[in-house]
Amino acid sequence: MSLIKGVTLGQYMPADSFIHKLDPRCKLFITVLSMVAIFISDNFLALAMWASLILFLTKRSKIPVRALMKSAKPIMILIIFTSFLHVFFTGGDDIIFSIGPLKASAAGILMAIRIGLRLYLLVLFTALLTFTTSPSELSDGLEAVLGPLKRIGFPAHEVAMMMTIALRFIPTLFEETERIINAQVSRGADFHSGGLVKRAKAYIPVLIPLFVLVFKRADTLAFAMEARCYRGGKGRVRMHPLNWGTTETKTAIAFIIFVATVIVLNRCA
Amino acid sequence: MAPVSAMLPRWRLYSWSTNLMSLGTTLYLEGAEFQYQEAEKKILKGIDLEIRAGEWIALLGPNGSGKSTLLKLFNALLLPSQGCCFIDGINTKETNVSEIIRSKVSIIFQNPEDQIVASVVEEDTAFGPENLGLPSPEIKKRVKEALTEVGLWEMRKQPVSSLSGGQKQRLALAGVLAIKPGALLLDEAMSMLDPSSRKSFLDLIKREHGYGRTIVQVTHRLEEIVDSDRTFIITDGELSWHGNTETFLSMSDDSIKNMGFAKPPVAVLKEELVKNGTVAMSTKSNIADIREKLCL
Amino acid sequence: MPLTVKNLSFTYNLGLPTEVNALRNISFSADKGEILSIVGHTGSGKSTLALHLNGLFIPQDGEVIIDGIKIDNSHAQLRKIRQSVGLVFQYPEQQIFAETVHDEIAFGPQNWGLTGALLEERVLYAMNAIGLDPSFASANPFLLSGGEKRRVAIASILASEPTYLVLDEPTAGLDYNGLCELTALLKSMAEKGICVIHITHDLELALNISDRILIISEGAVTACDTPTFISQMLSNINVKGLILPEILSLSYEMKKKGSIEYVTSDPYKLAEQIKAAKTRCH
Repeated sequence: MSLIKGVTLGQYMPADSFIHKLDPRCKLFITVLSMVAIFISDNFLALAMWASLILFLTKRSKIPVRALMKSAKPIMILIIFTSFLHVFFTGGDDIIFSIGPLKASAAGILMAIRIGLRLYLLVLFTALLTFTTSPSELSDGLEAVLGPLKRIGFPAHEVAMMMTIALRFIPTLFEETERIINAQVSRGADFHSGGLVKRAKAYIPVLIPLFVLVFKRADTLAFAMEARCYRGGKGRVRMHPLNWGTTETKTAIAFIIFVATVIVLNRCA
Repeated sequence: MAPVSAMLPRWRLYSWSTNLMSLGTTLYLEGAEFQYQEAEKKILKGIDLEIRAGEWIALLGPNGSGKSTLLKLFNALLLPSQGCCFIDGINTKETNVSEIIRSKVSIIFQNPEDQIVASVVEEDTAFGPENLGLPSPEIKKRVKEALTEVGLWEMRKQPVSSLSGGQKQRLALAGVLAIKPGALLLDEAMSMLDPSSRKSFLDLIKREHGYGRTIVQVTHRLEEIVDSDRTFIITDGELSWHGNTETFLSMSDDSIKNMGFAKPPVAVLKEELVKNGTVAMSTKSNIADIREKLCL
Repeated sequence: MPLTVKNLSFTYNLGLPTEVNALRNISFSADKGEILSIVGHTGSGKSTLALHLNGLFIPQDGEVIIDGIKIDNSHAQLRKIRQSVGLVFQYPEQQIFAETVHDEIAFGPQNWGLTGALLEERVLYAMNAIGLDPSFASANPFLLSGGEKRRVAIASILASEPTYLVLDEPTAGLDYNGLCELTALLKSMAEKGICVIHITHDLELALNISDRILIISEGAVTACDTPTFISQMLSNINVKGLILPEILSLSYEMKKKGSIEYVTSDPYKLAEQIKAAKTRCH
């Protein structure tokens, strides 16, 4: 029932695929490794390889490619803005055009495309992770990965639980925000006219009910969790304990080989 | 209790306690009062009541009369500021009993959105048993039983956001059934549902009551309390009326109205029919009985 | 008619794999001074329809015409329409933001440009109409009870002096007294010449208080007629999620069999008739 429901970022899409079944730790490992690797890939061949890998994984996980593309939509502005800055601030001699003091060089434009592509691929990769991994699995994986830090007092379980709840409430909060906006617009609130300050002020009648509702919701949720015997991570187990099997090992190795190949290509080409 | 719990692994304790006793849980309040520390006003004032194992209690009262607070006392989400609350004989004020109490008494709130923790149906159902530290096969078994019970097993892999309001509330029910509680507290659990989801939810509650579970149901609609055994009315934090639901529902239309409720039309019809001598009927009969008597 | 909806259709996520047909070819109209209830199951599209009535949604297909003005993207016209069509949402918590009841109620008229004495007059009128004591004006709306919050929310719409009042599920969670107050309010609004559009899944309530009922199912109009007609129709056909009140359906059944004279939703009258008819089992 929501306009904002079109936003698919961070939403889990259940399907029966090999990628959905992978141990979340394996998926986290792959995602983190690929984030680093994508960031150091600067030639177009390497980026193309990443793109095809993402396409391949999407196909294998039975996620519609369209949904994946759409997931990057909210971050598109950021990506375009960053690329835009690079056009003018990279420097270089062969100036192609200039706007006032801003000079766009050929190197700058190339750099902008690279940066833009990199960010885009990064977003797609993380989106793929959230599409194929349910929030609880993700937080289990995170908790397990961060587990060793517990010894130095890092609240691994709490962080993971916070993430579960945050992801759970994203769709709810979107709907709620939309309803509040509707209610205020019906009473004549205007978010589109006036200067920046006036427009920012217009959002106060949206933010106040939203905060009040979020706090109320948090309060009831805390009661509901406690009522279902939640007492923090101590003594808590999971229905599907994490299981790192041969598939995970094989996938991780295959992935490492892929990354190594891309890095070598990236250096040589 | 202490020596047994010391000998058994944690999850054993619960299956042990539910196996040994009958399914229903007794709830007992003795001079229970409640007020928030900084507040002046007492929300509950000296309430004494006993709810027997397997009883179905309707808890009525105007908005803001303290019904929700009363329910929270029953599963130790709040502790009485004066007096005591006993669950199956265990005082909720004792230390380290909250978990055993909450595995006996479960609560369902008005808005399903506020009580679903995980994003996927089966994962949310597993939340309670996971907190109890049950072994994985047992959790899976309970999740399957609970989801089958409420008719959501086919949707177990679905994201919660794709469920309708009625389905979400049934999921909330599954989430507490997986804990296998002896008592279910319903805090206006049906008020946000449409009539058909309300009916199917009420049918589920009837079934759970049939299994022997104690039910305490807060509601504004008297149609929903017809199957209950006793009725408690709370006004301004005090127990202003209690007695058999039949007695309550057989009070005159006007006196029920004065108490702030509307008498269910079916109850009126039945009474009138008995009064004018058309049919003889027991006090606890519903529309189906009336139809039968009228040869429909 | 002053409010007319013609062949309105609406699809969420148009062109995506997740697209949902929320409204299909809806047509109806509403008149000033009447209570029109829009009744349908959850997900029938009734809330989506409500959002179209004051231009929160612009029709994708078909048209919504209010007092001769067709809703489209024109900013100035939308403002005009939102002044004359007040929309009260289900949860007052989703709109209350001000520090005092007065400021909360004044929000609408202020946005339409009213100030000073005129504004105060509106606030007073709205509080009076809704039966809120003037002493509430300085109260903190967040600390009110559920029923009072709902009244403030309705007052905050009435303060704009709308000619059309659309209420989405206004009775959810109210206790019996709250329900009685609300239905009395809707009736008095209609008597003042306001067109009250009441959106609900509670068929029984709709049958009791409406002049006309629009039944909507799976995004399409099933019927739009008087309560008598609608209840008769529902005694013959099944509409998803709508169940006739038990007394009414019983009396229809007995009327069909010829055992009673007339159909009624009043249990006393039904009992009398049954007695007179002396229906008994053999």
